[in-house]
Parts: sequence; C-alpha cells; structure tokens
Amino acid sequence: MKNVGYNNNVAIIGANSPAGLQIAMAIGKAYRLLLMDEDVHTTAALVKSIVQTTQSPEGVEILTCSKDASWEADAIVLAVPAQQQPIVAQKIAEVTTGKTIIQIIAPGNSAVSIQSLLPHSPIVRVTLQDTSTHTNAIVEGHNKWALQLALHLLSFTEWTIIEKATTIDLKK
Amino acid sequence: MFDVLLAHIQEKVTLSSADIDILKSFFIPKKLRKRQYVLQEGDVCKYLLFVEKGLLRMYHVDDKGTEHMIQFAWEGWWMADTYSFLSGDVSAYHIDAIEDAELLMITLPNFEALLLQLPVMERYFRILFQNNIISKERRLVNTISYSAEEKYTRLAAANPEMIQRIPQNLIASYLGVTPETLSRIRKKLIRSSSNN
Repeated sequence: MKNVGYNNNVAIIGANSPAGLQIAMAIGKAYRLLLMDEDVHTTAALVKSIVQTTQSPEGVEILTCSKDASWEADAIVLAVPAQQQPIVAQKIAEVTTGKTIIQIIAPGNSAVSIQSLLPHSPIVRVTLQDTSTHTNAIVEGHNKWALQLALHLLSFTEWTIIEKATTIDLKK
Repeated sequence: MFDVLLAHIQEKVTLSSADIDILKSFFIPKKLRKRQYVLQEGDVCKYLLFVEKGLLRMYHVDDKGTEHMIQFAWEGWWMADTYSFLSGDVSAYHIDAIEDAELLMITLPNFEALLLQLPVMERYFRILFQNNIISKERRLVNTISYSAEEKYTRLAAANPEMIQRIPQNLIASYLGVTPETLSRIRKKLIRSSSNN
C-alpha cells in the first residue's frame, strides 16, 4: 500500500467553485487534496464533507496560498473563473514547471489562454457544457501523459468525458 | 528557489543568465513534508533529486522490517537510486523526508535533454559522479576496515553536520551498528574528551 501524499497530491485552486467541488468530492478517496480558495470557511466545510465521505482525514488540507498549494502538488486543477485564471497562472508559474495543469472552463465562460504564462507546464483544457440531463467535459491537450492523468482524474466525476483530438491552439 | 542549486553548479562551472533560464525550465519544484515519500521500494526512481532545503534519507528495508540507511541528503546534495533512475528498473529503496523539504527534481529524459542543450552541465555532473565514486569507496573501506568507534569518529570528522542534524538511531543504522552501541561510543568519547 502506498503512503498518503506519495506522488498523488492534487491542488485544486478554486475549490469552492461548482467544478472544484465536484472534482474534490470525486477524487478525494484516491488522491491527497490541497484545497485553495479565497473563501476559507466554505473550504473548511468542504474538507469536513470530503473527510466524512472518504474516511481519510490526512488526505485533504486547506492551503491559503495558491503558490504553496501548487508547489506541493504533483498536478494542479485550475477551477477559478476563466477571467481570473491568468492572474492565478502568474502567481503559480514559478512552481509548476513539469506539472500537469488542468484548466477548467466552466459553462458559459470563454476560454482564456494561460500557456504563455506557464510555458513549461503541460496544460489540459477541460470545457464543461451543461445539457438538460448531464454535464459534458470536453478534454483537450497536447501532452499525452498530462492528458492521461486528466482523463483519469475526471473519470471519478459524473461528467460525460469527451476526449477531443486537439484542434485548438492552446496558446490562443 | 534555485539559489542553492545555482551556487552549487557555479562552484564548478560557469553559467550565463541565458543558461540559467534554460536550466530552470528542466526542473520540477516540489515541496515535501516530513515523512512524505518521494520514492518507495518497487517503484522506478523517476527523478534525480536536488535538495534546496530540508533533509532526505534513502534506505532499504530488509525481510525483518529493519531499516538500513544508505544515504542522507541535505541542502546542496543530490539523491537518487542511480541504478533505477538510469535503467528504468524498479528500486529496492525508499526515499523520504526527515525534515520538511524543498526539492528540485529532474526526469531522465529532461536530464538527457539538459546535457544536450547545456554541454557545460556534462562537466558539472562528471565532477559530481567522480566525487560520488570516491565517497562510496571511502564508505566501503570504512565499513570493512574499521571498528564501530573508528567509523563514528571518522564520520563525525568528515560530516559534523550529519552528526548534529540526523537522529542518532539513523546514524547508527548508517554505520551498521545498533543504537545501543552508538550510544556507548558517544558516552565514551564524551568522557574521554572531558578527561583531556
């Protein structure tokens, strides 16, 4: 059995966003979570809920700094609103070299490029689309290992995963 | 974040500011908490680790569950199961943090790419590997040639920081003696130094 925090630390920046919440609840059993959100009180309630669900009290922590969370993480989920993502990307750039960034584009948001701000990180973009019955997660990226990791993480959610051959330029 | 690594490299070779930018793009920065693993037995050692801050240990666990310390690494030291890292075979060792640590990690593909892009780093790593061979030879000689007391006094003379910073039971394991034997040796040395 592998130890807690052994190469499986996922930071979720924007943990209280609808997407952040869903991912945190879904992967909390399998990954050590480093949750960051400006609203610490709501994040504390989320932690309590994850601990009750996963029975893994040491597997989830609140961090108050997105850079610290990303520094400790092996992969980072960027679940803040799209317009805030470049600001967060700038803050965490120094500590994310070589780490997979999963950029969540919430329904109704327009994608904003962060690749130029994180030039040494493989980025996987996940665009969420609500339908009347379910949520589609359209997954795109250039790096095969990062894509595999993102698809694995997202497989824990109830979203319908649509792996799209990347036709978009992530730099745009 | 790269201060210790850059100082360590520039003691041996010269890097331009452009070289430094290239170098930084190959390393994964990683914070590790005390007792967190960065390698476990049975996994491939995927990273060559450099310690910017904190303290790591590499050790083997035998069939009886006894830990045998192989190496310690603190600020300015590199650590990896070199065989596993280079061959891709699984490791027989564990690496974890004795103190909270800040690491810079490089994968084998990135290590190779770094050497291609910055040939001056070939020289740096050659010097490093030379020193590593010498230190392993010395450790072997110490292990097979000296008494427990001599092993300890030689280690204390060569690595005073190790003696001060690392728990005594881990030092005992590193020297291949029991904690009780090491405790007796230390008491004896303290007594003889106070008598002098």
